[in-house]
Amino acid sequence: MRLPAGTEAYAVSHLPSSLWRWVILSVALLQPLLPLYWALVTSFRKGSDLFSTVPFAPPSFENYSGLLSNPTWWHDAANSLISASAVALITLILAIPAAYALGRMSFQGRNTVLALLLGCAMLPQIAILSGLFTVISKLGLYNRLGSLIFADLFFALPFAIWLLTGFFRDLPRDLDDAGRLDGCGIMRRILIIHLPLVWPGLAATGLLTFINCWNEFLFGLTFTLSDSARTLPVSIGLISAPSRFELPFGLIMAASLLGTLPPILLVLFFQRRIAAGLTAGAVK
Amino acid sequence: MTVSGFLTLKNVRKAYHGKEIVKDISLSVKQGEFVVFVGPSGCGKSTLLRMIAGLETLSSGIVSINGQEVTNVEASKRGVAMVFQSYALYPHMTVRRNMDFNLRIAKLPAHEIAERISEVARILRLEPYLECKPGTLSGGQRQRVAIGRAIVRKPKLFLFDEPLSNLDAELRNHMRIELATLHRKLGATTLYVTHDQVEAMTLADRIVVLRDGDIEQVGTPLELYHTPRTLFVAGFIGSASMNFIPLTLLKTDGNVSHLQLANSVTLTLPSPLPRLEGQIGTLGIRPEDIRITEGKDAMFQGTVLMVEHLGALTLLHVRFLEDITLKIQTTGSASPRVGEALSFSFLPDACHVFDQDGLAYRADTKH
Repeated sequence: MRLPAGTEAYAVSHLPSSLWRWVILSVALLQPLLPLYWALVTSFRKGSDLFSTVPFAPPSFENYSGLLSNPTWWHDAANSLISASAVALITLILAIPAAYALGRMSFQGRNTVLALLLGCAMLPQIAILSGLFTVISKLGLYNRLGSLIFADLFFALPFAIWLLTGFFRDLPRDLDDAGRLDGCGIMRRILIIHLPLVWPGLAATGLLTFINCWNEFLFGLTFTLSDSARTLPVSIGLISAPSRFELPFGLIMAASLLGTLPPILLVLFFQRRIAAGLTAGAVK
Repeated sequence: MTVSGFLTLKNVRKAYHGKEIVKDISLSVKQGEFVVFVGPSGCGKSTLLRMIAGLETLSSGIVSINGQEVTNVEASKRGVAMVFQSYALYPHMTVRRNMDFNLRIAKLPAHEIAERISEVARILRLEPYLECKPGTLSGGQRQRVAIGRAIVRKPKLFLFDEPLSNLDAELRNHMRIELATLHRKLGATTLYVTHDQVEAMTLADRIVVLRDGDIEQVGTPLELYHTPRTLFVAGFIGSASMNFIPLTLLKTDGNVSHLQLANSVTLTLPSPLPRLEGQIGTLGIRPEDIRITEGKDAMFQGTVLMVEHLGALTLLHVRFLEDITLKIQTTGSASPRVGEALSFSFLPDACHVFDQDGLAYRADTKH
């Protein structure tokens, strides 16, 4: 087929631009994926294979089987799960009424409270570490899971309130009025009208809180001493080899990858529901 | 002023952050009456409606419904139902749940709830959609659900807050007729807020024109059309709006008055205006009250600036005197062309005279 005059020039002049797009895309993808690839490959290697340059050596499952058959690993994972779930749950319970008030009621100092909350969420962990340590010791929570839940709440709560305030604020005010005319008191309006409408926001906030706490390292390291209250990130950080001249990269990578699985599964499970919920709502 | 009626407002005021949104309004509405609050945005009409609904507190004044004072009664206990501009349907509930929500909260027996829902669904032709969520319905259907939600309660008073303004023009006309039919069928007392004067004219038994938080005039649609009390009402009611021309009253001579329009031509009106003698004011004439005339009969001349064909009617924009653009409505199909000279006359009986403060001169004793 003969192309109309000028079409060839058009096609040629556009080739480099599409090529550039692919180059940029590849670099952008390689940057985050390469470390993951390295972690994955390393987690299936042992001993001197770790330093092999062969990209696809025969995989060894020894790292994984060692971890999964180790009761301490399961114990630490359970600690992580309990503390992260507890923090997510308590955060939601406390943040919902706070965010409702901040998002839907007008009162003196509302913006100040919001600014303070954002400030709290921005504070570096290390800034309150020593103070928290004293409080936790006094409360007798040291080396217990309670210490982590207590400490994590300091960061999770302001962040969650801040996020949820936006969701509550965006609900149309007419719905409140309609509820009032229908004879709903404020509790009923929150429970029957507002919460079902912001549940994608609740799920997203809960999920983010869970992931933040699951990955939390500094508090876990500082406030726990023994295996009894140790969480996964700390446990991974403390993995060592029998000899001090060897670092068990393979094992560390296997543990890290296993540790990322639960958050990934949770996100995959909730993602579609959250997206569906966000688009299904709105009547306008 | 003593007011009595089904709904009465007595010296109702609302101030917010030191600004008066509603200023000392007193009004009485009879049982079964359809009253429309109309006015430009920001005139306080929605606030007034929300105060009657109980969604907004009063700064002072008294609201009573059916002889009972409800000034401090909760919204849900006033026996009113409201339809919102945004419909305010609960998006996560089905149409049926939206409509019976209030009845279930009021703990009505299940069989009565079912009966009421099926009756309302039949009236509003919502039967096929009872188990749908509002998100899947069209604008007109949502509007009917919102109306249905109000009807099932059998309220003493219906409140509508610009219910049709989210619909497209065709649907709006259609729903307007449905609302009028529904009101005739149910006979419930209705307050209706709108900024659209066509809705106000067609639906209302009485119109309340509001401006800057105050009542400008109350009356039947035709009263407002024929005898507007102020310049504002005159300009607001009627489409295309009334023409205004500055005037000076030269003198009243027996039963006739001689006016000078825009400091040039003179006009003689068949009514005495003694109070205004020597003063300046405004002459108002509706586009439909100007006749295109030929030859000697013509009072004035102008140049056609623009011709708008509306089908049955034609609206001419005519340059008159130095800098006045008159709108003239004609029914004739033979229309002048742009740039042509045009002779026309004002119907003397249809001229409205307003004084310097914009108040209508009421010496045309016929009314």
